[in-house]
Amino acid sequence: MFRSLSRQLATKASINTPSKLQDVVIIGGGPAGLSLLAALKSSNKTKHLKCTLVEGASLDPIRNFGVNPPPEYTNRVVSLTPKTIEYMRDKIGNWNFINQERVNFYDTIVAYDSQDNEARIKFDASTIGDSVLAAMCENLNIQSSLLERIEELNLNTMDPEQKSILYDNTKVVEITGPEVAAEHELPYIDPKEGEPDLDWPTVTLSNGESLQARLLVGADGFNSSVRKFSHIASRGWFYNRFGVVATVKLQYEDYRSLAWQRFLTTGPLAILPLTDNNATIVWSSTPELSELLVSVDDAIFPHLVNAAMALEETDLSYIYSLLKKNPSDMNAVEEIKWRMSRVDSSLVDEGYPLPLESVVPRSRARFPLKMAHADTYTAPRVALIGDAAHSIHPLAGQGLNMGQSDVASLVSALEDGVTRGLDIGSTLVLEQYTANAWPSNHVMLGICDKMHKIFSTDWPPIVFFRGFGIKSLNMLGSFKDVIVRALSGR
Amino acid sequence: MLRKQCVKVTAPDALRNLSTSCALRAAQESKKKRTSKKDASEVNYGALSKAQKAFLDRLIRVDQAGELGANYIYNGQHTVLASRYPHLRPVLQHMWDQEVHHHNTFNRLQTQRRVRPSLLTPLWKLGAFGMGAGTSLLSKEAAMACTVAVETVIGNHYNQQLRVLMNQYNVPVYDKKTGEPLDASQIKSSAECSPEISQLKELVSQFRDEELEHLDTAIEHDAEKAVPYILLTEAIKLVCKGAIWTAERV
Amino acid sequence: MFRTSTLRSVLPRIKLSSGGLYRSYHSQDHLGSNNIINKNSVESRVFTKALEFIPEKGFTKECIYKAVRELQYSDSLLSIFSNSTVGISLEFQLVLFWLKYQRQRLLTYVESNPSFFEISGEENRVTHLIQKRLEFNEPVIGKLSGAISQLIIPYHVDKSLEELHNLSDDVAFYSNDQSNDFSWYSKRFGLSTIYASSEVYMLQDNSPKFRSTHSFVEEKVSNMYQLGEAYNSFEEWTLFNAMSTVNLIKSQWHRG
Repeated sequence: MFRSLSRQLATKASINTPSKLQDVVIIGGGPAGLSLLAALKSSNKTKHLKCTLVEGASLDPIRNFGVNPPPEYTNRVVSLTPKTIEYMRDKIGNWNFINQERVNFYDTIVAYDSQDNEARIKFDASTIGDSVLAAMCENLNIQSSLLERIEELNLNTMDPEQKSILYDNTKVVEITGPEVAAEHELPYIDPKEGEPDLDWPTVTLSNGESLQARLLVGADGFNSSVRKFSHIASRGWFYNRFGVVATVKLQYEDYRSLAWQRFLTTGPLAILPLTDNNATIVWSSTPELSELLVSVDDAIFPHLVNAAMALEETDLSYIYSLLKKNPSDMNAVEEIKWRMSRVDSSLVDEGYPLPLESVVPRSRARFPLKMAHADTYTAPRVALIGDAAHSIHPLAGQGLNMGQSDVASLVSALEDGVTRGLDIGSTLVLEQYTANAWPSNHVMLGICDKMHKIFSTDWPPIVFFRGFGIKSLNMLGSFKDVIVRALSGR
Repeated sequence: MLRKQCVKVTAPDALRNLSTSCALRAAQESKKKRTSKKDASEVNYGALSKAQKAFLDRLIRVDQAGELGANYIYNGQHTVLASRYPHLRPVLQHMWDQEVHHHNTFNRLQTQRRVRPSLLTPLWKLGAFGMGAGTSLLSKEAAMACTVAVETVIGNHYNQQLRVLMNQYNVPVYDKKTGEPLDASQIKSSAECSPEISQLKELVSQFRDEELEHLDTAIEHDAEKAVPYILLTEAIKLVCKGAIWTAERV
Repeated sequence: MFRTSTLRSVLPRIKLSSGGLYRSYHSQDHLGSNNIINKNSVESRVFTKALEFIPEKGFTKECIYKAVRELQYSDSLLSIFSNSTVGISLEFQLVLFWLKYQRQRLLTYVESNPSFFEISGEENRVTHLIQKRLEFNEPVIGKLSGAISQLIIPYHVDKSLEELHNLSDDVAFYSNDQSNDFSWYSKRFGLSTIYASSEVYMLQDNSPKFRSTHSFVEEKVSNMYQLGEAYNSFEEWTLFNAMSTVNLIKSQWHRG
């Protein structure tokens, strides 16, 4: 009923105002969508393409970040690998616009097991002759740099047709494709007049406009409307775990540029250093625990993180049970302090991260963790990038980087297509993108899924073997180098 | 995992019914006695006999297994055909969606009425998916012929069940207040059967109509052009009948 | 998979079709179709009375004799019970009636305690019900081993298993079990195993208020649900990998 009504409206609108033809229409103004737009416009081969980006929310917070950055770090912080940074610097060209004062590089990550404190592994970028393992950077920082880069490119473009168009606060009302005719039947002839008989998908927007795209790119996240339109199935599962993020202050600045990750049976907890004494935490936990983590008092939360980085699981579940009864129970802090004082002091300085001092108010948030992978990234005149194509467990901090490598593969496939004089929406061009990007993403998704599964159990045989595995891995330098290379995207 | 999270805590229906029937009774006592014909809320239905219960038990089990099979057959067809013949996608999707709805309905009935599901569900899943995907790999006409065969058997089977439901479920009806037995002239025709049975009848006849609609759709899409049509459909019909016989019992 | 005939030889005298091991169709509108015990029959009046004497006399004929006398029925009634078509001893009839009676109590408990449905999570509801059912054993705990030895006599096993299965099915149903396929069987089998082993554990439990039995049940139920979850994720994972392999091949197909 509603569908048919909206279709009627859509046809009417398209009769009144014929849809605008665009070479590339990108749905979604997240890091992936903005990167694709900036990358296309930066490449000599593809900069002539007419591009439009549509974002449902407002871009103002992103613009404001560039003009007037907030005093405290925002809580959505991502890890950028050297490969991603290189691409941003050399190909997209937005790295110059990044607020460098809010980026922190680190060279080492220490991961350890809550069931066996001896089971530790240290990944150090200097072993492969690199000074950087990854950089921590706010999502907003990246988006704002991309916007500035796009605006710069627009200024340098003479032809108004070739300037990229950004629509924010604009939702996609409907995406319609051409009618499909059976292969053996006669080619489909549109009986209605005034509608172009192109096989390009049409995007109807909430501002009344409609766009017809030679290539429609879905950068619209997990619930991608573009993916649904193109009937690409996405497979995977929810982990029944939530990620809790928060911006915190350490007691003093850590000059070691170390990142820490402890594998608890409820999920990994990572402390990632930012500049000065700032840090961000990502704590994957069960639904009940995550609720507790966002509801406890600001005064208690830092102690809870300190406890979770050092204490035994049995101690932790006791403390959780105290706080579950009363989320502002200061006795829990006393319990934590007393139990912490009994931790082996030789480990405290070297073996554990610096203790937290406080948490930035209202910086805590939680989101469900899932794994999903689309069957393919392309359909005729459609490509998916970023979270629309895959969702990953955050334990290795690879989500944003996978999106960036999607952008790199898609741009190089399109460049090839332009060079060979092909239609960039044709499957011939797009299949190159799936062929390049799909397998490596599949491997990364698999590794993170297995890491989650192996570490989220306290079943003794698995605990024993993973402890054994970690210790022997830590001694095998060459194998560790392979992992360091994979983590830093080389 | 996800499923476990979203299951809403509800009192099993039988229990809920007990409490609502108590409430109804109370409400009726306050009303004046009516001389008109009684409707379903004013009467109690006698217990079902062992044989009647056994038939309903078999009916739900075999229909659940059948709809599970249908669901997986369309799944198999969709997997193979949807990307090859985009024009068939909406047709297959529509039929598949209906089968999923049928399957969910019988799943719900199975848990509410405490019927044991068929022990061979893993076999039905595999077999049905294989049948759907296999015939689709032969040709799209063969897939449609498979639909014709399956829907013919299912349609007939639903008809048989309806016949039994119509004829064999005349249980004694009692006045809710006095507990006296009532004869047919004292009750509305809609109340001659308990809502439980009449809903089941409606459900079965609605599903039968939809299955027969699928049969027509399949014939429209060149099922009869499949080679060898007779051999294929008869073989599949035989398999389906065997599966029905087994699912009723195991 | 297997033929019915071999199945029958494994489980003697148990019929898989309705009316046998498994409870048959649960009616919604036909009152009286689902009763566990018929409260109005003479038999159930006598046996209900007899239950009162179990804590003192154990699961013996004496209880029934005494009940008949107290209700002032004639002694000839006893011969009707012992000659009834059921063909099983009076003691075992008493045990079976006792089990059915406790199932009825469990149903009454569930119906009269709306707070039960507020317990979140099927797993917790299952644990709660099993613990509740075990509490009903407490008054007769000293005599319970007598009942168990009756239940495991080989030619009683089919009836005992039927009762055990019906209990598991009740527990699953009240806890809002939604399984529609093979898991229906594994869940009931698992619950039966848990109940039987918990009852044996309870016989030797000396802790106050049977606390260690309660934690035994908690642990077993949680293990069962963990195993179920592990199996489900394994199945999910296998399917995912099968599809991924196809997708991987497809993605490289056009590379040439």
